[in-house]
Amino acid sequence: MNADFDEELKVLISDIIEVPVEELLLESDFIDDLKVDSLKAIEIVAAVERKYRIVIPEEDIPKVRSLETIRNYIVNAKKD
Amino acid sequence: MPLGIEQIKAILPQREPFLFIDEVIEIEGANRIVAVKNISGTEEFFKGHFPEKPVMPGVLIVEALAQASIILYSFCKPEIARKKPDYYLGKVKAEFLSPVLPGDKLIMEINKVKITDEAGIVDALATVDTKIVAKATLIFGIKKSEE
Repeated sequence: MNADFDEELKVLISDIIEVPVEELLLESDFIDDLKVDSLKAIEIVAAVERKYRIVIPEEDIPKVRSLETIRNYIVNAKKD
Repeated sequence: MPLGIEQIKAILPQREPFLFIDEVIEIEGANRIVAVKNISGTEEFFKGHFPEKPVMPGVLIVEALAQASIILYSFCKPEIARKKPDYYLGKVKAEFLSPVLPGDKLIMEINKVKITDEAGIVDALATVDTKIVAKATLIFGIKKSEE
């Protein structure tokens, strides 16, 4: 995974949550900092699953609360 | 027949004249259902949409698809559905390709994209005589009713 991957993921998520790319920091908490609700959260999960062809089980969704954690989740899932 | 009107009413909170599912004809586990609404022409909305030229409003096709989506949700999350939560529509992306007219049998296919306790995304396809009349992606939320 490279810089293109990081940028692509950032654009994907910023589009869904309607936050400018420059305001979406790696460590921003989706819920506390970016006010992502359960509907936006499921949109993020579905978009990531579709784009990266992975499955994020429901019990793992609370663990992916920032760009950084979701990035690491994808990297790990792709490794398996 | 997988589900008749009484079973549908046990799942959906909507009632006539705002119940837009007559029967469910296919259920594929918790992944896909096919529901039917027979458009008789006597529906109240045809009186105004439009006088002399009845056409089913696109927003009501979306409503019918949303109701079918609740039924799919109830198969994914039976314990939650049994407690009669509030379902609310959050976001809709829809295309309307052909008018739905009195006498049409509206077939609605709902495919799960992702469903969790609190929310769902489904892809929906509405057809009449195998012709696609509408396509939509629906995002909806589920809130537990106040006890």
